[in-house]
Parts: sequence; structure tokens; C-alpha cells
Amino acid sequence: MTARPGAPAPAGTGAGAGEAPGPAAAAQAPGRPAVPQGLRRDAERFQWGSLALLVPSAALLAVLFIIPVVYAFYLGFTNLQLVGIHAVDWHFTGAENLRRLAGDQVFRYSMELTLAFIAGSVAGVVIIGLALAMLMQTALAPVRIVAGGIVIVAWMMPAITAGMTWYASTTAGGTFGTLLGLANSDFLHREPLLIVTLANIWSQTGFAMMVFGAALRNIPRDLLESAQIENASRPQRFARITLPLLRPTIVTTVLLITLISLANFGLIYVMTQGGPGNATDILPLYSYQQAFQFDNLAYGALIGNALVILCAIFGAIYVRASRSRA
Amino acid sequence: MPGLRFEHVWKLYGRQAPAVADLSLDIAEGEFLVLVGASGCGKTTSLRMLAGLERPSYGRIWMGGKDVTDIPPGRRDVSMVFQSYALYPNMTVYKNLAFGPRVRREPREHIRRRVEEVAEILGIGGLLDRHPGELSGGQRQRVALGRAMIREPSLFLMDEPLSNLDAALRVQMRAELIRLHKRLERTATVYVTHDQVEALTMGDRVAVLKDGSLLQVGTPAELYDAPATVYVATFIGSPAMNVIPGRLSIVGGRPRVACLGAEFEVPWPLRPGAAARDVLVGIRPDDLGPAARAPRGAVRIGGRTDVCEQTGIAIYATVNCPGAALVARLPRSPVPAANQPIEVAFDPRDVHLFDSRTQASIADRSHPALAGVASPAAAAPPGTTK
Ligand SMILES: Nc1ncnc2c1ncn2[C@@H]1O[C@H](COP(=O)(O)OP(=O)(O)OP(=O)(O)O)[C@@H](O)[C@H]1O
Ligand SMILES: [Mg+2]
Repeated sequence: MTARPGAPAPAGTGAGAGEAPGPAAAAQAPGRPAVPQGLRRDAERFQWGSLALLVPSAALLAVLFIIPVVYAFYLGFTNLQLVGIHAVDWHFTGAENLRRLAGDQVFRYSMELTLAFIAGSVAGVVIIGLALAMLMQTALAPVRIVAGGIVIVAWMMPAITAGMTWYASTTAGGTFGTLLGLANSDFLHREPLLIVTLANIWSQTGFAMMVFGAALRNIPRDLLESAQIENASRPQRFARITLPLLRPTIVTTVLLITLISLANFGLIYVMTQGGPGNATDILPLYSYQQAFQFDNLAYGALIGNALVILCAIFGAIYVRASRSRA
Repeated sequence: MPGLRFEHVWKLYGRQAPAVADLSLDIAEGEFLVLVGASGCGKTTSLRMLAGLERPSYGRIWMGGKDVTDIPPGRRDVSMVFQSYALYPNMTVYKNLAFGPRVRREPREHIRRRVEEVAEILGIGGLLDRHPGELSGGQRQRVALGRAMIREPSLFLMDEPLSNLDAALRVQMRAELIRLHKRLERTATVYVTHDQVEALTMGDRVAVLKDGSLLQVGTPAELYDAPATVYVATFIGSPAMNVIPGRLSIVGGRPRVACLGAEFEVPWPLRPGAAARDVLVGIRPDDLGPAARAPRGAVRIGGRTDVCEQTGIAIYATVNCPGAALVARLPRSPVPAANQPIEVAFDPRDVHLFDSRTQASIADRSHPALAGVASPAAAAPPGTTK
């Protein structure tokens, strides 16, 4: 474009603009060219060569994952025992175990505990992790490094260590009680599920914080600035901009925390072994107890199967949630 | 009541050269000020300090008689078009436009009407249901503009708001912006652009920045007719002013300039203290034409044609003269062949003179041509055109 200050006014662009809709438009006018038919070059196609590349990982998956899972699924419908006669002489028993499961009060209770544990853990980890990540963003560098370091150490700590630490802190005469001047209060005994959930939150939060921190850094600063100029309050900016943009990250984190929490068997086992009574007997623990303490391998496997299905349902829900648009 | 004021404002980032250095500038209520300058000269930084997004390292900023240096962005009553658009990717165009009004809890029906009005003006009425990711660059830019226009703030900040539009649309939007500015009588606009036409046609005044410093501020005519430095002279106007080395001498009290083998008397008074020295002589391409059409008293220079740039209403031809290559404006036909002898001429009244060491203007072009008397250092009446 030419720009001649000597001749101002919009007329300056007249030369180029006037010609634009000339011959080109005329050629288009009497009927557009027909869209070609037949196979499109840009159509998605299956590439046979990709099969060869898939074979190694497919084989590994089959041997290490699919076959064991299918086998475990089958075991759930047998009378296999860890010791005794049915350890050797076992066979398919059809719906027998299912019937037992349906009438099993402990299983129902365990299911409820699991849902409560997961819901509490996920909510706690996401909220605290996000809050920490947002605080870290505005913190001065030294504070950020020290606080971040502590949270991450908590996350890297083996489940056994974390479990022992929490056990030691929350039983009678433990650190928390002493600090609060209630030396004899046995928190773990009184609110076992709550304490166990808190311990799990404590050990997962560092992970969530790191993931959210990375996602927050990826939100363009000018979006928040633009909202700031519009005098949007901090909560409004958070609700209308930050949160929607973090949504995919939150969904992924929720899924991961769900799975990691269910797999965080060691923590609860060290702290309560499912007790007192059955108060923290979430599905992974109950499955383990049935299989290896009461020697009902098959029944344990069936409970494990229920757990797998539960995870699959969670997964499906999250996948849907991450697809739909705000 | 003063509108806006930068008072010795500095902005420093780390150890690098200041992004804005000692900027002092007054902007009147209802004024349209255009900021121009090369890339990286501190235009965006200055706007961001006005918006409150950036805190000055030193200095103060005033708005409506109040010191707003420490007042947060939301309480300054400004609206801003970001250079990067800053559209909310998770919202539709409609929601982007409605964001501000919604935050301010305006009535729903009123918001809808305003959004439709603005979308209509900007020609994005059909795009209201799309997300920013589904728009072309120019469409996004118009949404960004619309988000600012939907309000009636006391200050508009626009960072290259039309840079991505095609020529026709740009002319149209320019007119809309001027209309908007005229309608909101008390609203000042600070407008950043790289486009010469925008700078010179839209601004009540134009401020030229270089490396964070304000070089000159004045009406478009002042900047065009009386640039204070070589930088401003070559930056304002397109094609850029020809600048050629020359020698100034004072003969019988009158300034005479020798350059390109010619010698002529300059009809402008010199600034006080001017004496014989090396100078840079500036001649705008539009003031350099074919000698055949030149009036009596014009200075003629011979050379050979080189590259020609056809613009439709004229040809800007590079003419190789002994010692310099000059760009001259020739009639659009006949198109000169390459490497042809040609004689171009200019009127000595159109010459700009700069000290070759300080780069500052030494001919006081703000005064009408008088006999060669050293000028009194009086302020120029604003809006003096040639
Ligand atoms: N956040 C920042 N951190 C460090 N340096 C910065 C920052 N923002 C701007 N700068 C520097 O400050 C100077 C001025 O930048 P600014 O964005 O104001 O330029 P500009 O005039 O708007 O340029 P353009 O025309 O390219 O948009 C540049 O040298 C830039 O590199
Ligand atoms: Mg900029």
C-alpha cells in the first residue's frame, strides 16, 4: 500500500481498491467450477505399514497386560483358593461368586468407602494443588523455591514412609495431638477415613501443583490483563478465564489422581490395614484381604474386576468431560 | 483540567536499555494522539503504563488531574485494544464482546443491543457464534476493536488496531474510529500505528518515539513541514525524505547551501547561532520533480534514472546523481526507461536543513520565508502548513 502524506484523506487508497473486484470476480460469476468427485487426496487412510510398527508394543501389551487381565477376569468366576484343596483342584463356578458378592455387606461398604475416599482425595488434591500453584505464581522466587521444594518432596516420598509419618503423627501421643495439646487423642482411630484421605491428599498435592503450575504459565498474560482493564474482580477473572482455560488440565489431573489414589494401596495398608474394623477398607484393600488373608483368590479377583470396571467408568466420564466444550 | 500527563516517566527492564526514557507528554481531554516509532521503541510499553498494566520505574502518570501512578487498571476507566488482540479463546465472539458489560452487570437486553450494534459497525455480525480460533486474522482484530468500542471510557488505548485489515476495510474502520472519537467528546485516544496515512490523517497530534525517548510531538502538518530532527524527517512521510550532505555558508547575512554541485540560497531564517558548517539537506520526493515543469528559481540537478516505483497516480523514480541517489516524483507517464539522463528540480523553499553533527533542524521552517534575518525564538502558530 502506498501512503502519501501529501495527499491525505481516504482517497489515497483508491488506486488499488478500485481494481480489486474486477476481472477475477467476472470470471467467477457465471457458475462456479464444479467440485471434483472421487477419492480425495487429503482423505484419512489406513496405512498398512503402521501394522508392522505396532507389532512390538502390541505383543508386549498382550503378554504383560491383556492376557493377565483377561485371565484375572476369568479367575473371578472360579473357586480358586490360595491354600487348601481348591488351590490345586479348582474349576469354573459360573455366577456363584457374583451371588456371593451381591450379598456381601462388606463389599457394599467398601464400595462406599472407595467413592468417598476418591471424591475427597480428588477434591482436596485439585483444590489445594490449584491454590498452591496460583500462590506460587505470585510468590517471590525464594518463597517459591522453598515451598515448592517441600511440596514436591512430599510427593516423591515412598508410600510406606508417608504412611508411617502420618501414622506416627495422628495416633495417640502423635505429633498433631501433642502440638494441639491433646496428647491422648487418637485421631486416626476416631476419624480413620478422613485421616487416610488427608494423608493421600498430602502425598498427591505436589504432583497436581506442578501440573497446574505449568498450565497456568501457559495462559497468555494479556487475557487476564484485558479482563483487569475491564475491572473484572479477581474471582471473576478466575471463574471466567483461568478456570475455563485450565479445564482440560483439570480433567486430566482428576483422572490421574483417581487412578493414583486407587493404586496408593501401600499408604492405607501401612496406616490402618483397612481398619479399624472395616472403616478404611477401600476396594483395593478388600480385594487384597480376600485374596491373601482369607485365601479366597478367586473372590479377591472378582473384587479386583469390580475395581477395574469402576476405573473404566471414571475414565469414560472424564473423557466425555474433557471433550465437551464450556 | 488536564487530560493526561506523562511526567518524566521511565520504564526499565532488567539491564537492557530503557524501554521508555524520560517521557514527558501532555494529552488533552478529547485529543486523538498518535504514537509512532520504529519497532521496539516503547510504544506498547507507554500504552501499558497508561492502562496501569505496567508500573513506571520512575516518574508519575496523571489522568484528569489525579495521580494514577499507583491506581490499578480496572479503576482507570480506560479500554484497550491489545496488539496481540487478547481475545478469550474459550468464549464466542458474542461473549468476548459482552465480557466487559457483563462484568459491570449491565442489563442483559442492553448488552445484546450494544453487541449487535458494534458487531454491525465492524462487519462481524455473522460471526457472533464462533470462537476466536475459527476466525481470520482481520476478523479477530475487529473483535478486539469491538471489545474496546463497546464501552464509553474516558481513554481509549489502541495498539495498532487496524494493522491486519485490508486496504478498503482499513479506510472504512479509520472513518468509524474517527466518528466514534468525535462522538465521545471528552474521551482521549492514544493510538499506536505503523501506518503513515493513519498517523497523519487521524491524529490531532503525532508523537514520534525513538529508543524510548520522545523526539517530537506536534500536529501532523508540523511534523511533516518542520521535522525537528533527521530521524523524524525520514520517519514521517512516504517515500522517505532524501537526505544529502551539504555545506552551509553565510554570505552577506544570508544562508547559502552547496550540495550536489548546486548552490542556492535558503529562504528560511536559521535558528539562532547558526554559522557555516556541514549540514544535511532534506528534500521530500514529493518536492522533487522533473526540471521541465519547475518554476523559475528552482534548483536543477542532473542524473540518470534507476528504479521506478509506479503508484498509480505518480511514479517515484530513483535518480542517480553524482554523489547521491535521490527519489523524485514524476508524472505517471511516460514511464522513464532505466539509465536515462534526466534533470530534476526543487524549490529552495522546500528544503529542510539539519546540523550534520547533532542531526537537529537548523532552518526555522515554522516561520514564513523572510529575508535572511536570524529568527526570534518565538513559538510557531500551530497548524502552519506550507
Ligand atoms: N516484559 C518485557 N521484558 C523485557 N523487555 C521488554 C518487555 N516488554 C518490552 N520490552 C522491551 O522494551 C522495548 C519496547 O518494547 P515495546 O513493546 O514497547 O515496543 P513497541 O514500540 O510497541 O514495538 P512494536 O512496534 O514492535 O510493537 C523493546 O526493546 C522490548 O524488547
Ligand atoms: Mg508494540
